[in-house]
Amino acid sequence: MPSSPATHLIPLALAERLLHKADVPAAWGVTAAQFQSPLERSAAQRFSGVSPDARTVETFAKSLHAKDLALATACAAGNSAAWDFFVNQYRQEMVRAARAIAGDAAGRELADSMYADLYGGMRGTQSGERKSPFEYFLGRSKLSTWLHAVLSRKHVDEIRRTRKLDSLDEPRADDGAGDSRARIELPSDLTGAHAGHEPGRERYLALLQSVIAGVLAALPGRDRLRLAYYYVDELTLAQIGKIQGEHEATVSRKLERTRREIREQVDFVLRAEKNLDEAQRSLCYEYARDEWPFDLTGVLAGKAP
Amino acid sequence: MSAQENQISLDGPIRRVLAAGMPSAEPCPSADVFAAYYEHSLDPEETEHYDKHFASCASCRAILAGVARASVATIPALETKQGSQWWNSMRVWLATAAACVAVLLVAVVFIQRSSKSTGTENAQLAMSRAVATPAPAESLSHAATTPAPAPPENVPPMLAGNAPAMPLPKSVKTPKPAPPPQDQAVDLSASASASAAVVEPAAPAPAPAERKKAEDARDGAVAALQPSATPQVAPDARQEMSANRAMQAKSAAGFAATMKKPKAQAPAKDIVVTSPGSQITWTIHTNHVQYAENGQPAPVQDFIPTNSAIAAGSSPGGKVCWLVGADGAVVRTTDGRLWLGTNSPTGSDLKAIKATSARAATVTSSDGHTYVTADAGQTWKSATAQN
Repeated sequence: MPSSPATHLIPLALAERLLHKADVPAAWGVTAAQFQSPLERSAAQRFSGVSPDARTVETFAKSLHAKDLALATACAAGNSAAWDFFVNQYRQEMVRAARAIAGDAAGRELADSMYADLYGGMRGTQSGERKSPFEYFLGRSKLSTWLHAVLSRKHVDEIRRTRKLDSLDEPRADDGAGDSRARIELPSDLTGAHAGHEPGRERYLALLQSVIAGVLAALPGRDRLRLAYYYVDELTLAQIGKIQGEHEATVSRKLERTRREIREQVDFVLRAEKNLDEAQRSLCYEYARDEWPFDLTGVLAGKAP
Repeated sequence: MSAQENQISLDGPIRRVLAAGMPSAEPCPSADVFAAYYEHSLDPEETEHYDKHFASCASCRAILAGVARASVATIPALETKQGSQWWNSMRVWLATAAACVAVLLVAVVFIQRSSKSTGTENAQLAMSRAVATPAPAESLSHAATTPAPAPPENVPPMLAGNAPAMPLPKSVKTPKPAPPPQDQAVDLSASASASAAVVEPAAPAPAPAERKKAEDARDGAVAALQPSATPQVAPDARQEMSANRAMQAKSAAGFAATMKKPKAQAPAKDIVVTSPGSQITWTIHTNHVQYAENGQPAPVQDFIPTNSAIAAGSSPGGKVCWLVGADGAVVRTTDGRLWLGTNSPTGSDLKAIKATSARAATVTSSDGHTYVTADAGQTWKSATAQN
């Protein structure tokens, strides 16, 4: 559990007001002093490194999901009535979410494991042996969404642990020289048949990749993230829209716009900075098309409004 | 070549570069941040900050993708934003159910006015139980042996015809749930108390009193459907319950019963497993276990990590208990409270289990096969084949 700051960002009176407003059942046994602790941690996380004024802190505290936070606080404290309420409200939800994340078979194990963590944490808290995962819920989202995130992270961690997703670790494996271009590796067959009778192929592909990497690095984070969701993670437009808070059609339109801007920027850099003439640029694009035959034109055109 | 002509050829390298990722020095955020990011409740500067991180972190994007998948499967009741959408889709069904109940109520009133015999009361009881299916076999058989009253003459044929699901005397015989297995303890307190309120022969009473009694019978039947409700509603509370409220409760309960049918047929009765040589019992409700020691029930019911209907249980002693059920489900506890699933010996329904220790047990499937484990359910061997 994160340690509480020395000075209180959240006054006890504010914690009491929020607790009262949340209409928390008395059976959960959450006191204002108890409730102050997670509020404090949440504010400390949000305002890390800054000194907010009292009004900003109060606005932030009022934006929290107070009832969910009180439930988590009560469960973390080992309150049986709160635990009973949690199980009735979220048990099926956890199973359903775990199955959606990991599939039917693995989902059941995932949900069981999560439940065991929460239950074990609650009982461990009672006996003082261990901390409850509930203590990491800070109320900035609904408890159900937090459970989804914990389940999803648990699933990804498990996959990484079993090394089924080694590729996820690749980008983080080095010491981070800071230049993304250094990360680009040519496919192994580039030095093979193609390279044998097309001596310029390898050079052109490396050049094109480095230019594209530079252009992508210069994109706004949100645009790059949208591209990654679609190009790499292969999420649907609807899923991307859900994550980014955009309509499906907006996602499609923005993807197409970003794609067009990349093409124009890459062509400009190859022409103006790399001094390639039209024939050389054509050769770049031709090699790339042969090497990585991946095309979203039809897909995006079909989804566009 | 113009940029327009290049468009097809750049998707491949773009994907390759994106998949390779870009270095990110900062650590991945906590689950709290993921959830808040997904709900768009982070501040704009925080969102922008995490956009950059997620764009270069494949693990974080995988986590967010999981959250997106999970949210699609969210129970509508938990999603307040989707509440209105859920309500719109359900409104038609609820309206239909309410209309059916209204027709039924009118029919009941007509019956009560035309026939005030004890037989009529039994028919009402049976009818209310038909709504609250499944009903205990004992009380149904009692009602079924009662001579069926003649159809009321003053019931409009249109009303009777509009409620085929609730035929008046015939419904006494239609629901025939199987009797509880003899080796399972049965908790009939809820239904028994509901029936006790109306089964006793009563002298003819004025119509309002009878109407109230019919409402009581329905309330009892509805209460019997509620898993956590007290078995018997307090008399003063029942007096205050209006007929309209009873109709709403019954239609909602009926609807819930139709919408939440378990995958396999759930046992109609609770199963009670007793630890030999100790005062520990486990009462199994659907997906929950009530642990009790020395007759004192634990304040919280415990979760069974399976959706399958539990069919049988066995305790070798102490706080160890095994349960088996549909689709080969096997769960086990060694501390009496924390239930964990084990590997399943078969996909068939399991109907019996005999546990000899915390690690050894023998199960029997509905197709007659027997399986044995000696390592707490990690591996199973077919005992049938050996025979």
